[in-house]
Amino acid sequence: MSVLIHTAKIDILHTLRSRRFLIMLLAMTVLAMIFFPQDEAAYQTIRLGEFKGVYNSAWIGNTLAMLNVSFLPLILFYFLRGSIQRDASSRRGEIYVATQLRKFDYLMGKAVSNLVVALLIVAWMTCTAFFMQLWIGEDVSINIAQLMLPQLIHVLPMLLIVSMITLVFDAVPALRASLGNITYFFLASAGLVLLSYDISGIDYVISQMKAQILETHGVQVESINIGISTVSKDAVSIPFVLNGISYKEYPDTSIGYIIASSLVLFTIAWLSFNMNALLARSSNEGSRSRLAKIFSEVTAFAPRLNRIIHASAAHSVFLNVTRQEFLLLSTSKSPYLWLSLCILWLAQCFVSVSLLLSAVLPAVMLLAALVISSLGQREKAHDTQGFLINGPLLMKVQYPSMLAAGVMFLLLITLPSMLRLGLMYEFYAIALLMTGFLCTVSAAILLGTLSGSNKAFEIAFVIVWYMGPISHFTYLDFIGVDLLLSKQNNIVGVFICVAVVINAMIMAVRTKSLR
Amino acid sequence: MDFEIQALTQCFDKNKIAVNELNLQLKEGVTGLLGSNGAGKTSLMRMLATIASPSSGDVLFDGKSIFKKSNSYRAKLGYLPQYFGVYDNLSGSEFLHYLSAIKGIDRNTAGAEIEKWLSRLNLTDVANLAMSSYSGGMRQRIGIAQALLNSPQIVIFDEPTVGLDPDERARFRDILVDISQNSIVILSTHIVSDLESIADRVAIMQAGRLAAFGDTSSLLANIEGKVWRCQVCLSDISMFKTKFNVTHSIRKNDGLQLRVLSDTPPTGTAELVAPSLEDAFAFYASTSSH
Repeated sequence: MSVLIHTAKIDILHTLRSRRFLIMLLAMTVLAMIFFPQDEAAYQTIRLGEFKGVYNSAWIGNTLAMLNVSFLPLILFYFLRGSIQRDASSRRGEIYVATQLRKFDYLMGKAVSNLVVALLIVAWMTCTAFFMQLWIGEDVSINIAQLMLPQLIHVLPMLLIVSMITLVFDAVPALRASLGNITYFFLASAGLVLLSYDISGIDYVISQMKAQILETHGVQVESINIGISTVSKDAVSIPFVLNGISYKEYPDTSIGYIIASSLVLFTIAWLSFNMNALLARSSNEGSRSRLAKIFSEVTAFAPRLNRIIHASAAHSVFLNVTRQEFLLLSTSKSPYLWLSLCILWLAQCFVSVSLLLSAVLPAVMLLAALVISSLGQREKAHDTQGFLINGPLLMKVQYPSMLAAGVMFLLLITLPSMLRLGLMYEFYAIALLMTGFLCTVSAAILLGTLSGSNKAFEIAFVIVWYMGPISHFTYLDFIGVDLLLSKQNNIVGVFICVAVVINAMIMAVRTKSLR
Repeated sequence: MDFEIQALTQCFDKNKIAVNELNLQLKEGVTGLLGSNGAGKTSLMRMLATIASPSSGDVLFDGKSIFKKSNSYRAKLGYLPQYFGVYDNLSGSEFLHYLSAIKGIDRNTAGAEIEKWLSRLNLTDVANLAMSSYSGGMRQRIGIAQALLNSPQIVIFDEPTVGLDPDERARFRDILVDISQNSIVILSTHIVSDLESIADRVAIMQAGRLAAFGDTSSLLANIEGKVWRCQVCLSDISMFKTKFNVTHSIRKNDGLQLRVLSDTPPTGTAELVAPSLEDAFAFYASTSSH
């Protein structure tokens, strides 16, 4: 037990003293402040038909719980994720593995640490909400129980589940890398929020709110929506005073499900984790998977091709550095990723154009994002910035070469699509893709440079990808799923402007942040 | 205490053998492990620390395989990896408290042990500072302290003196002399002078194999009468190095003063000198590679 507590304690202290925790608290403060708009604000965050909740402790506590249950599964996962990988990449694991530290204590310590850090974030948000209630001043009588109880009853179970899911994604080898970031996003958007509503009991709070409106105002509210929506100046809303939630009829079976689910998740993590994963280099270093061997044999032509390109690029520093950047980009990724990209490359030759634009190209871009996410952060990750920083070529050549290598890579993996679109005289679509590539690669470099990790770009890309090509939000659709709308809104021009802005930002931050 | 390495082999691929059929029997005291880059020292150390598995062979500690009952062996092990990390946001003291907990040391003993090693390694003043503010040498000393927390019977140090200044290296050597009274210390290093004064035995590795093993005096005795000191012009140095095994050179005003391994005097003015461990290392490494 002592080892478990110490493992959790050391991890908690390390997180609490980090700069990213401070940034997280600031972001959560802003989120909580936005979530409780003042009366004169032009937006609302909770829609109860024509009713507007009076900011008393019961309303603040319960709606904060709704906010936490809706958004924290996504935010906390990405914040908490990676503590096992950090032990390996920082080489702390080299010391741990040679001790008697048991897998159970290590993993449970990580899970407890995840939970405690998540709880502290929620406690901080509750404090912010408390100050918001006093600041807005609609009802300044503070009822601590009404503020805290919803967090304990509804948010705590969700935090437990998210902590365990994060542990599973850190412990299972296949989910540990970039693939896990993307998989979780889909899991979260495909139903985790709904599931968290169910397991957290927020549905019960919503039904109680509806019942109180019916009782006090005689109006049946159909649904309660959480999210920002605009309010017209003429709109009149009826104040509604929430008198707390009665838990007399609250089903007590959910706690059993939550504990059982947590145990199942922990068991999955425990079964799939090997303490040797903490070693920066594995004990079977040098041995490669069968697929990796096949892949290296199939791509044996690459070094010869590289020599030819080298010879032709020998007289240009820019071409030479671009070639090197391209080589760096195409190494150290999973052979499964390359295999998937090869299959999708072939698929681009044969599928119908509508399928190509709506499914195959988005899939290609999603996988390609995992490759180009290494741009910008590679120097920090491999500690090579010392070699670069004093070089006169850093801004002059290395950065444009990196940009060129990234765009070249995207062009290469979408070549069949480009050719097909060209044959169909769809030059606007080609221009859209090209500017989309430029924005994507620029964003990868910027976020990689700023964060020093590939996680920031991968998360941002998946969000844009989901909202743009998948959900057809024209201004983020870099593939041109709806070409007509893209043309009407001149998206190519928009993307060029965005690329210029991002690249200006890169130039401003890159030299400084590499130091 | 018996520590026996039996035909230990580690292959990464068909053509890449890091450690090849290595046999060694160790007892209390300091055993220095010398070898050029890629000789297999770190691979051997990692197997002895049970963080890597052998392809074949075994290591017995008091007659039991360290790979089968690794947890009971690890309780008696102190290991300093060649490269290791720390929690930058924690203090040295907090980090050592955590490591003492995972090594199963009770709280009261841990406090006293941590204080003792922080003091002996000259870290008391910085014990409560965040490790992000530590120099490379300070971090290395924290690594040394964590390896010694549990009063280990087997101590494995992989390049422990990297980043330590001469004073700290001397302090570290004193610690090694103390702990080696009751434990088996295996120390790998490139800095031969670190071993010269403290190693009871020296093992020299070359291409994964054991090129030589024995106490320092017997290794030196084997090259007695073969080490010469001579002076050569700078212009002759390339030609000289192709003909002789030069183990050391010092720049002098009128050329270079060399230490040369040879059965016969390399120059007419060469004088015979007492061999050093560095000469022995060069001798066994070259003999083995030929």
